[in-house]
Amino acid sequence: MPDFRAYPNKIPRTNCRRVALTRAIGMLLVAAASTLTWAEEPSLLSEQEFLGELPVVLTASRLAQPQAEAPAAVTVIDRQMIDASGVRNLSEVFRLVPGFLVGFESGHVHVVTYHGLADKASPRLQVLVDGRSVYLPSFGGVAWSDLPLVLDDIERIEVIRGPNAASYGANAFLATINIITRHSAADPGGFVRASAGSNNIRDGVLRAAGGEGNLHYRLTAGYQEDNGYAQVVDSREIRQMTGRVDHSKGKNDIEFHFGYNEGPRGRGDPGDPTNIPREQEITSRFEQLRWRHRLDGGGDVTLQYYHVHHEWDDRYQTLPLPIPIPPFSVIIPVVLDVRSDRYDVEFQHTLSAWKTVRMVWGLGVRQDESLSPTYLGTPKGITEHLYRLFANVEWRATERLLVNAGAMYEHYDITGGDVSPRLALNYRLLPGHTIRASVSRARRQPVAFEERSNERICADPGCTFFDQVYLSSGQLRPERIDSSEIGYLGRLNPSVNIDLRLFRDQVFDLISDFKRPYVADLADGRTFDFRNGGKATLFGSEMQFQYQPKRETRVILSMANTQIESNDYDSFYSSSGPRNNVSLLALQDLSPAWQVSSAFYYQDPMRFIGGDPLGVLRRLDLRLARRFRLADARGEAALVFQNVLGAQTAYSVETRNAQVGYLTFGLQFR
Amino acid sequence: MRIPVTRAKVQTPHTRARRAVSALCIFLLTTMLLIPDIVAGARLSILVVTTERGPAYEEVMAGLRTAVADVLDKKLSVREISTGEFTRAAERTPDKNAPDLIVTVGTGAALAVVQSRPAVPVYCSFLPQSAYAVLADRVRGEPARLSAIYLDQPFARQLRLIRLALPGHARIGVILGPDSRKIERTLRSSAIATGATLRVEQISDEKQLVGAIHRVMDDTEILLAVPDALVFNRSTAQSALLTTYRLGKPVAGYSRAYVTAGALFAVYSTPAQIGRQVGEELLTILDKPGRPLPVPSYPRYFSVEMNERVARSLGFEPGQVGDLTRRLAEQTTEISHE
Repeated sequence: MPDFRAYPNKIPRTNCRRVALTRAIGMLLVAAASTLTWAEEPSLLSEQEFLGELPVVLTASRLAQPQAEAPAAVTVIDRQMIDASGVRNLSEVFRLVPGFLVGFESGHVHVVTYHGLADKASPRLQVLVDGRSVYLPSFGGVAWSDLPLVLDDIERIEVIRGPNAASYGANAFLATINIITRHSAADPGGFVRASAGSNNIRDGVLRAAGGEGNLHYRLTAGYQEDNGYAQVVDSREIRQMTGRVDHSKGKNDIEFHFGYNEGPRGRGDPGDPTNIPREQEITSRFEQLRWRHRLDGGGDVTLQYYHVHHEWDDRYQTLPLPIPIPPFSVIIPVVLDVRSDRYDVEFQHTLSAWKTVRMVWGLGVRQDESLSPTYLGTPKGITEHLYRLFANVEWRATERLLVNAGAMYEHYDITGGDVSPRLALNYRLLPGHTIRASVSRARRQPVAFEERSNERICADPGCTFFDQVYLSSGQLRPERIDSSEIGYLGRLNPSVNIDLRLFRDQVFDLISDFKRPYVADLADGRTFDFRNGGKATLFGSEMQFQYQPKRETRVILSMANTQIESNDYDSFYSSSGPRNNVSLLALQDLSPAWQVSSAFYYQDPMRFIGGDPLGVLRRLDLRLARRFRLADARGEAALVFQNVLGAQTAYSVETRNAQVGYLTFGLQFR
Repeated sequence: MRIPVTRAKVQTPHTRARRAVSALCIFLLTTMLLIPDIVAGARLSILVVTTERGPAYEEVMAGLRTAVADVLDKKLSVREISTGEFTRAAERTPDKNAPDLIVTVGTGAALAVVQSRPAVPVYCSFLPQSAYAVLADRVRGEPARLSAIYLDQPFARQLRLIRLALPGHARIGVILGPDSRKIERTLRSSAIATGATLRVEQISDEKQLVGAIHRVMDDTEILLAVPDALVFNRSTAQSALLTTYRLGKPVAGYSRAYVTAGALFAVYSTPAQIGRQVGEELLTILDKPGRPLPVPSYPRYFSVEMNERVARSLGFEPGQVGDLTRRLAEQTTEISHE
C-alpha cells in the first residue's frame, strides 16, 4: 500500500509565488486543497481547475483588428514569406506587396515606395519598427541599409496601403510599413547564420536569447558585406547589434529595445573631381522603452519613449580644381557630415467605451534635430517640434456594419496646425466576404533640408567665391493627399483569400526643387530652391490573391494597375510609377526536409524621380532549402539565386542587378 | 442515531420529539432496506460523497436526481454527504450503514473514499482523468471495484472541435508539464484518429511556460490548453493567454472560465451534464445482473462556448457556436474509451 502522505504538499506551494491578480484563486485552491483529507498528492488536478473563474485578460479592445475590419488595406508579410523570398535586404521584401516599387540608387541607398512619387530619399512613406518611426527628419525617407535590424529577428511586417495619418500621423502618406520584431522569448538559446556568395557577399548573424518566467532578453549581432554594383562606388560593410528585453509583471509589460548600426559605405563618382570615391562612415542607433498597463475591465494604457540617432561622417578633399586664372588650381575641403536625432514620447489609451464601441486616443510630442553645416548652412542644429493628439473610434453599428472614424491633430513648428481625418465603413456581405469604403486625408511635413537648405561650396577659406547649390526660401506648406478607396476582402474557401482595392488619391502641394536665379552665386548665378508646386492624381486597382491548399504549398500573387496624372514637367511624377506591376511568390515543401520557393516580379516601364528610364523588368529569384537536425540543434541550409533571367536595371543605368548566388547556413541551438 | 437522508429534511424545523421519531423511522427503514440488498432486483442504496458543499456540487446532484427521478426511492436510494462527514463517519464507525455503491463527486471526495478502502464499489465522477488514473494506479490489484466518469473532455473531441472551427489545416500546439506528460501517447493517437497535426512541447516548470508557448506557436495556429497541476493551470492562464494574444493566435480552453478570460472557445461539461450521466449510468447498473460498474468514460454530454469578441478580433465568424456543437455531437460516437 503506497503511503499517500509521503508526497510533499505541492498544491499550496505552487500558489505561493503568484501575482496579486491571481492571489484570490490561489487562496481558493489552497482552500480546496485543505478540504482534501488526503491532499498530499503531488499533482492531482481537481475539478476546481475546470470550475473556478479566471482573471479576464483579453477583451477585444486589446486585440488588433482583423483584416476584414481594418479601415484600410493591409498586407501582411510573415516569416515564411521573408524566408521563401530569399532576400538579403529588408527593402526587397516589399516587392511582394501590391503596388510597391523597390529600386536601388546604389548598393546601400534603397528606394521603397507605393505607386510612385519617389526620388532616392523616398520621403512619402512612414516606416515604423516596433512602433518607432525610423523616418529621417533631415532628408526624409528611410536609410534602409542603416537600420539596426537583422532580418532573422522580424516576426512579421504589416503594410498599410494608403494614407494612414489618422493613426500614425505626419508622413503616413502613401503607405505605412509596420515592422514587428519577435518577442525575446520566441527563440531561446543560440542562433548562428553565415552566408557567402558571389559579389563578395559575406553575411553573418549571431544571436543569444534567454530568460525565464517574466523576464526575457535577446541580443543579436549582425554583419553584412558586399561589393554593391560594379559601376558604382557603393561597397558597404554593416556592423550591427540589437537587443530587446521583455518584462511582464501582473498587469504591466515593459519592453526595452536598443541597437546600433555602423560601418563604411562607398560613395562618390570616379569621373567627378568634386565627388571623389571615398568611404562614408555611418552611425545609427536607437533606444526605446515602452510600458503597457492593462486596465481592469479591458483596455490598456501605453507610454512610449524612443530616440533615434543617425549620422553620416563624410569629410574629404576635392581633386585639384581648375580656376578661371590658369595655371592655378584649388583643392577644396568638403564636409558633408549630417546628424539627425528624433526624440518621441507618446501616451495611448485603448478602451471599450460601450459594448459596440472601441476607442483609442492618445497624445505625443516629437523633437527632431538636424545638424549639417554644409547642407543647412549653420553650425548649429535645427530643432523642430511636432505635437499630436489623436483618436480613433470603432463602432459596430450593426452585426454587419462596422464604422471606423479617426482623426489626428498635429502642430508642427514649420507649418502650424493640421487635422488628418479618416472615415471607413466595413460591411460584411456574407460570412467571409467584406466590402470596405473609406475616405481619408494625410499630410507630409517638409523635412529640414527642404525648408532650411543652405548649401554652398566655397572656393576660398573666407567663402567670398562660392557656388550656392541649394537655398530654401522656406514657408513650405505640408503636402496633402486626399484618398478614397473601395475594397473587398474575401475568403472564398479556407484555402483562398482575395484582397481587391480600387483607389483614387489626389495629391496636392508636392514639394520639389527648382532652379532660380541667385546673383551672389559666382558659379552660375542660380541656385536650387524648394516649393509646393506639384499636383498628381493616382488611381487604379490592385489585388492580392493567396492560395494555400495545404500547409506545404503556398502561392501569393500581387498585382497593381496604377495611373498617375500630373501637371508635372517632363513626366516628373506621371512616369514615376509603372502601369502594371506583379509579384508571384510560390513555395512548396517537397518533404519535411526540402523546400523550394520562387519569386517572380514583373514591372512595366517607369522612372524614379531623378533616376533613368527603366524598361520592362522581369526578375526571377529561386531558393532551395534543406532543414536538418544536428544533435539538439535545428538547422537550415539554403541556396539562393537572384535575377536568374539576367541582369536588370534597378534605378539608373549604372545600377544593374547582376545575377547573384549565395549559400546561407543557419543553426538554432536550444 | 440521526441519519440525515437529505439536507432539506435536516434543515426543516421540527420539534425535538418529532425529529427523534422521524430519525428513528429513517434509521429503521434504512437498516431494513440494507439487509435484503444482496437480493437481485432489490433497492440499490447509494452513498454520494461530494468534495464539499457548493453550487457546482448541488448542480451535479440535481442532474443526478433528475435522471433517476422515476426510480428514486423505489429502486434506488440516494444519500449525500460531504467528504468531511464521510471521513469522520469512517473514523468512528467504519462499516456501519454500508451502502451498495459509493459515488464520489470531485477529486477530493474520490481521494478520501478510495483511501478508506471501502468494501463496496466506488464510482468516481466529476474529476479529471489524470486524477483518476493516479487513484486507480494506487489501488490496482485490490478487490474494490473502481470506475469513473471524468470531468475533462476526450482529446478527440477537443481536436475535432478545433478542426471544425478552424477549417483547413490548422496545426495545434500543446504544452505538457510533468503531470500531463503521461497523456502524450493518448494525445498523439487521438490526433491520428482525427487527422490533426500536433506540435507538443514538454516543460518541467511553469517558468518555462512563456518560452514554450513562443516555441510551440511558431508553426502552429492554435494552442490547446491541457490542464497540468504544475504548469498549465488557472494561475498560469493569465500569462498563457497574454502570450498567445501577443502572437495573435487563439487558445482552445478547457473550461467555460477560460473562454470568458480570453480563450477562443472551449468544449466542456457542466456539473448538471455530469450529474445526468451519473444518474443514467446508475440506471443501467440497476438493470444489469450482478450490477457491474461501467468502464471509465468521458462525459457524454457537453457544451461549446465561444468568446465572440475574441473570435471577431481574430477574424472568425461569430454565431457559429450552435452549429459547431451540433456538428461536434454528430461526429462524436467514440467518446467512451480512450
